[in-house]
Amino acid sequence: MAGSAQPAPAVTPDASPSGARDTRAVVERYQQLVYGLALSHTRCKGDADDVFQEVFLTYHRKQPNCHDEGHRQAWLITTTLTIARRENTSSWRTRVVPLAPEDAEMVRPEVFHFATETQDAVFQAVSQLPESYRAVIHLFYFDDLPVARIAAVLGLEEGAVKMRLSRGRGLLRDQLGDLR
Amino acid sequence: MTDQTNLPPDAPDAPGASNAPDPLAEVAAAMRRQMAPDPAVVADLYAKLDAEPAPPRDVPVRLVAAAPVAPPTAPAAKPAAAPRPASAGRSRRRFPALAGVGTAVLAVALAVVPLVQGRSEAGTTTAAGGGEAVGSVTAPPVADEPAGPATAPPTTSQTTPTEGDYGPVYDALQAAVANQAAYYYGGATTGVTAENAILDTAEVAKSSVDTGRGSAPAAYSETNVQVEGIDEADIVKTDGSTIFYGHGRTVTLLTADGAGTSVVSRIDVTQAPGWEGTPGGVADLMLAGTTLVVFAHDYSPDFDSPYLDWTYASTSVEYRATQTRVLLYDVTDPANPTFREALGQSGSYSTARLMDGVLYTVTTYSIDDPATADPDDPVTYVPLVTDVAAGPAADAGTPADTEPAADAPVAQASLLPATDIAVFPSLMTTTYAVATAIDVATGARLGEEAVLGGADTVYMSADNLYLGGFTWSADPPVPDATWAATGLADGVTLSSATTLARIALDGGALTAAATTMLPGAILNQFSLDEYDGYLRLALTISGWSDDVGWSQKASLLVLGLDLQPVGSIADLAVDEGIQSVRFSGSVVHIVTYRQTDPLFAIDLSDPTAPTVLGELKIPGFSTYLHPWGDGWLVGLGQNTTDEGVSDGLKLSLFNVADPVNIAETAKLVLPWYDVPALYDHRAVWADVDRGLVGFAATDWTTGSGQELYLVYRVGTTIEQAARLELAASTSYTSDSYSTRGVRVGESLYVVAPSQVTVYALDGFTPEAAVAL
Repeated sequence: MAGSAQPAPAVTPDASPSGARDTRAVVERYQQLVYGLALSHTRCKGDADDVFQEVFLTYHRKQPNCHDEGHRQAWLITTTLTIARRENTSSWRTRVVPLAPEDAEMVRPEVFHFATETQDAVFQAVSQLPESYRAVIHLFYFDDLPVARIAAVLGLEEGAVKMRLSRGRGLLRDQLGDLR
Repeated sequence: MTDQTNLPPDAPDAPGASNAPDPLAEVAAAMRRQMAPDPAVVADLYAKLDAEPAPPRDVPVRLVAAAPVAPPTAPAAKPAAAPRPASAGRSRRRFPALAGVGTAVLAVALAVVPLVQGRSEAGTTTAAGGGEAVGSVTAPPVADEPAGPATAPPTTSQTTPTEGDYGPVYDALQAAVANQAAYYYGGATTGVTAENAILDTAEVAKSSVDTGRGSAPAAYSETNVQVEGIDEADIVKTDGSTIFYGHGRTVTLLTADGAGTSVVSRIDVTQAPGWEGTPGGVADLMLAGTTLVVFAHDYSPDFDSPYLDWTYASTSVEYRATQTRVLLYDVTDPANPTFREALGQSGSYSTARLMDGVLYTVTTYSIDDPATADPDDPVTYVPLVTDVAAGPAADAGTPADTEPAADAPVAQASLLPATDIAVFPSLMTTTYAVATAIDVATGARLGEEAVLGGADTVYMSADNLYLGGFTWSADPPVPDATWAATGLADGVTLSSATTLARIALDGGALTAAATTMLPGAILNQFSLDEYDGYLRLALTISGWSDDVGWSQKASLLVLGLDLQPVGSIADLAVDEGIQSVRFSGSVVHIVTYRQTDPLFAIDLSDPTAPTVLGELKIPGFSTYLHPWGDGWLVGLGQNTTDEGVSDGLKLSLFNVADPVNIAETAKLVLPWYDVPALYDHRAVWADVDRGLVGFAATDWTTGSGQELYLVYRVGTTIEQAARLELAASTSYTSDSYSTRGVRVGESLYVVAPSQVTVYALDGFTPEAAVAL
């Protein structure tokens, strides 16, 4: 499990041929945000890894002209959700696992694990939320985004965000019972 | 307690929500820091990033692949034709200014990186015309539906589904709208990647246009063009026996016969078949052998204009030039011009060129209200080309029948294939520049290309068409290398920028090959010159910086054909704007002005290291420079007093044979006339062999607006040779803008809206006056 993210360095100009160093700084600053979203929106760790890489490669290729960090963050969030959605509809079809005849047991894709069982349960519950609640719950609880910011990024009314939060919490409580 | 909102009581921020700690929040906080990727995954990502080629923001993006899918080639297969500077596409990252070290900065910044070649499967390099779909072919008249909305995209020998796939074009247009709003009001902008880019990597042949005149003295004068061998459209054309004059809705044909000059025929362009809206006046003419080409606008009322006010009893409806007509007439017999066919293209006429029998027409087509663009109906947002063939026995001189005959000519409109539409990757404008190439002899369309980017300045060399578009933008995406080459400091906010596109001619196939964003503004077509595989250009850059405030300067840039800088003089003239430019091979003369008129001579023989050779500081400034034999320049411009006050016009003769010691050897100050030739080079009649310069003027000094044609003799002194008074204008505008002087034989024909007056060159005695 990777360690916690360092405070991200200021994004400075670079002269590398592909601008890769510029993108690296963006990766360092936003890897937790993107990876976390990818985790809760994909079915296994491998998919999350793929989505994580794809988001930053896309960022690197598209060079979105972000005027400030807020725009960059918003771009990364919406792109992660889009790519994760795309990955979900294709990954099981394309996943090819070569099996020797003696390996009878089914190979199960690796699941991301947290430190405690409770945390695993919470993660699983969040991942199984209906899509319309999942991103809102994730951004509110795991990224500490305020309601107004979630609304702006996802293109929703603030009231809609609050509604989804409340209903999402209700679903989680049903699934998890009382959390200790 | 009243629930003031509709929120359930346990919603965050809901009134009455408890202050109890949220157990979910606690757990989530503990999980947050664990949601990080494996270091191996991150390292693998970094490796992939390093392997990515440099993002080429300045490549024109063909949104739809033209050629069938080809296996991707290794990026390093073909080295770049010219060195590409590092991080060419990062517009918001600035190199710190290294003042006065133009070439040294470039030496640091330049790095050879592999040229991008179709980074995804969809991209391939196309040879000229290979995958390029030829536009609609002029078909014989078909008794089909009449002219109107576009038919399906043209069928050619290789119709591929992608030609009609306008989805990416629509998306690009909408993205441009969003980007414009973002630049003005703040917000993220999106660009287009080069995933589908098709680069024209064919070796570009050096300019093969003969830059020297033939040795035999010309029998008549031609339009004063920028590049020898490339004719430019103008309102007056002659072939030495007939003079063609386009004014209003009429083209008048006269025999150039000295005292016997007379009108032999007239063409009323409104009688040409195929007008869809209201015919406009003649914009320009071109003469190609026995074919006369007439450019005119097709106007339609704009009922969708947001400015229409329906609340009043009556309101004005704006007519907009939605199409430009290219009318072809057979003038083998000038007394009986015959309509051949009409071609058309969306947009308003910009300019036209003729080279080797191929007519290149440029229009600009704006989607002013992108909200009217219907994604399912490409006609609402994609440029069209139209073709109208002549019906049987069509005669330009006879009035049209009141009822169209069964075999009357019909117009066939076709959408530009999606494969012929390219965009500036930065997607900043909703105006297309539409370029078409037509073989004049046959009327066949050779190719077309639309670029989503403006075309305020058009310059054509023997191999390429360059389109420059002026943009106002708070933060134009100028490539870092260009920013550095023009010596701009980090914190400068530009007042203006220029989009530049290079369209390779390819014998008429027209392929968008490179685009870039330049800081500052281009004065006119004379500010660009392609020579020996490089594009040289002069820019006036103005902007705001915190320490200096607003300032401007003149810069010289040398770009490779990929439009990346290879050399420059960043600070040619600080606090000055460019007033005139004339390139002559490896030397360029530039006039800048603020108070004095430095005339610079710059050596361009080493494209990577342009050098100022000499400088002449005199009052006033020239707005037009004309090479006058070997080692001489004639300048037409404004005169100023020593205090910098303009007090009239002037003609100057400069000796530039020794570039280090430029001298103004002769000068004549003229009264403050209204002279179109100051800013329109086609209005200048320059006869170097005879030592004469002529142009039309309107004299307002006496208040009545006397129309004149002025001729000056240039030698060791400059003297007025003739001040010819012309008939007064019958319209509210000056005639001088529609007046030209043309020499045929030993007579000067002054062609003006109401009258053509013929003068003997010897003494300028009047020989004939023909009313029009």
